[in-house]
Amino acid sequence: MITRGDLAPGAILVIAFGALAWSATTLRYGGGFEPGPGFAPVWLGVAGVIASAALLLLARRAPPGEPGDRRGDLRVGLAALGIAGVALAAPVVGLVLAIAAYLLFLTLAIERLSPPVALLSSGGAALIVYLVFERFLNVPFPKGPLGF
Amino acid sequence: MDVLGQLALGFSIAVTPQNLLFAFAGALIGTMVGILPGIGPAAGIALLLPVTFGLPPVSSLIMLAGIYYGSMYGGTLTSVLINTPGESASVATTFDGYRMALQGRAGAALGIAAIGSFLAGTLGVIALMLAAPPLADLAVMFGPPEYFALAALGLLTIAGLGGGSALKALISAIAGLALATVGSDPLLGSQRFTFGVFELYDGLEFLPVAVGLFGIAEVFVNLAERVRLAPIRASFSGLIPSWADWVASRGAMLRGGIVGFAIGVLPGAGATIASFVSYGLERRISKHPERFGKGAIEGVAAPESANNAATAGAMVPLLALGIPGSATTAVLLAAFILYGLRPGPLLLTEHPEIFWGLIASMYVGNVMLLFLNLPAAPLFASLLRLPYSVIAAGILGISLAGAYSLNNSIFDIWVALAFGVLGYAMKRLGFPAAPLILALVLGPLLEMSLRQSLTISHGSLAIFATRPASAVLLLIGLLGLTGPALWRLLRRPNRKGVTP
Repeated sequence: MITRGDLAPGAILVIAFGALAWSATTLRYGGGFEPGPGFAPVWLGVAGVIASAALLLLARRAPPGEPGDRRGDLRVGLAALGIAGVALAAPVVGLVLAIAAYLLFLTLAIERLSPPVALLSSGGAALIVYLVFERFLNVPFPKGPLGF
Repeated sequence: MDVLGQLALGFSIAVTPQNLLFAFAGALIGTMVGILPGIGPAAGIALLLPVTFGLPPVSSLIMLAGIYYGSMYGGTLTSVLINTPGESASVATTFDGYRMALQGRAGAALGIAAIGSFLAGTLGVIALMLAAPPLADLAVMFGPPEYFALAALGLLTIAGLGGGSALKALISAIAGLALATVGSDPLLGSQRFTFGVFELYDGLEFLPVAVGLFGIAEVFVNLAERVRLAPIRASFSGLIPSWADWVASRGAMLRGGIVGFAIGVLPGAGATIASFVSYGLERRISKHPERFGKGAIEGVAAPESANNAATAGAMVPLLALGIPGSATTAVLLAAFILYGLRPGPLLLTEHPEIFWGLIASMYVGNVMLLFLNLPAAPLFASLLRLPYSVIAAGILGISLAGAYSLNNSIFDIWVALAFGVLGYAMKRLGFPAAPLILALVLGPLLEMSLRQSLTISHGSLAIFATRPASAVLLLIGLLGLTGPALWRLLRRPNRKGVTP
């Protein structure tokens, strides 16, 4: 369903697809009868701009959408930042330890589980990751000072 | 070799101890995936895909397919017991299944759903076995225009029939196609939109994208909404249906199986639509339509049979043409490609052991699921007592490790995170993720076949209209995109309140 809440995403999409079409003009469009590398991106950009503009127009006349859930978005933002933390910390402390620390943060700070349950579930999940990927599949995870 | 000979070859592969074990593992994991909220079959397969690296391809594919059809069985349990479908294809089951549970007939609902799923699933596999080889023979004659039309058909129908706003689904598909252009040009090899990032030279890896869009994003949505599962109050007595239940349901099972398979074959339609159409059909032809929504057993048998038969139907375009029709079959296609296999017409001739082994394993898997689901329903239901946060920790841990393990690269964790955030935003704003993932998979084929077609035709688009197969396929695709909106327009009452 289209609502007035789609105005901002519609505008962002028009800009994004416009940028795609514009940057695709730097690629070779084609020669003779043979379409080149820029052919598809140019037309996808144009199609995207048209479809997003239609969304914008429809959203202007649509009923207002439901109000956003800022607390929910905040929890998701923290969870996403935590994953970024895993990607940054893994080369230093090791992937398994980084995942364990992240899951503890998620269950304890975001989901507010009791400390024993949070420790058990994050530690259990990290142990499964270690056993399945590192021991069973021999995936060479980045290792930290503790050796895993 | 005839069909029976090929099937015998398939069974000789599927019943080896190792493959039986993987079929069982797939069925078991699939059932759990179907039960657990916030993880659907596409996410389940994407998350488990890295775990299958190093296994023989046929064993891995048997397990991954088992997750797909197993999830349809699992979704029933939550629909009946707590009125919360584990995945979208079980929504229609809640209408009467939960009512039956409130009347103390949860066991009968689960029993008839398991038997209906088994019968319709087996019927669907028979139809798949008979339909795929002739379709593949036909597809051998396809050239670039037909492949372009097929890929376009998949995208247009998923946009039109996927539910929600067709415009948003179309934008999602265009975004997926745009993302598919990242990396080397498929014909000339020149770099596009890589911005000097080495990891993008071969394009966006499918697996981290799927893990982000389906695994991480689903967890994010449930974190935002703080999922709390309702307590189970139903009893499990009477899992074996009575004779009266069987008599009342057998027609619904048969019709559900036929409708489910036919809809499953259509790209973009899938198990969810099949279950709703089948439920609607039963209510329409019933002598007592007033019983529907109040605990009619046919209202459980029909959608459950349909969603299982639809999974077999969805395998037809995937295996015979190499064209996935849904997000789940797109992830399965990615699994084939990761193993160096290309589903499509040549799969039957070049790798008959894969094709027929997979089909035979589906017969075996359906039998396993019947025996797994009837006695073990209370055991599976105990999974629902786990707090969602514990499940989320497991999903996120496996998501991050799985994304890393594809190329042993931290970059893939960043990609999974980016698509997790994008998937969350899409869900909040009502943009479906399935067209994007399907477009990402079909993008290279679509672009290559379009450019080859235009080169053949000296730049004329008429080639798509003058070749009968491509013209028909594109016409069906356009109807799929615009048909639902036109139908709504035609059915809208006019000013005098008369429906034209």
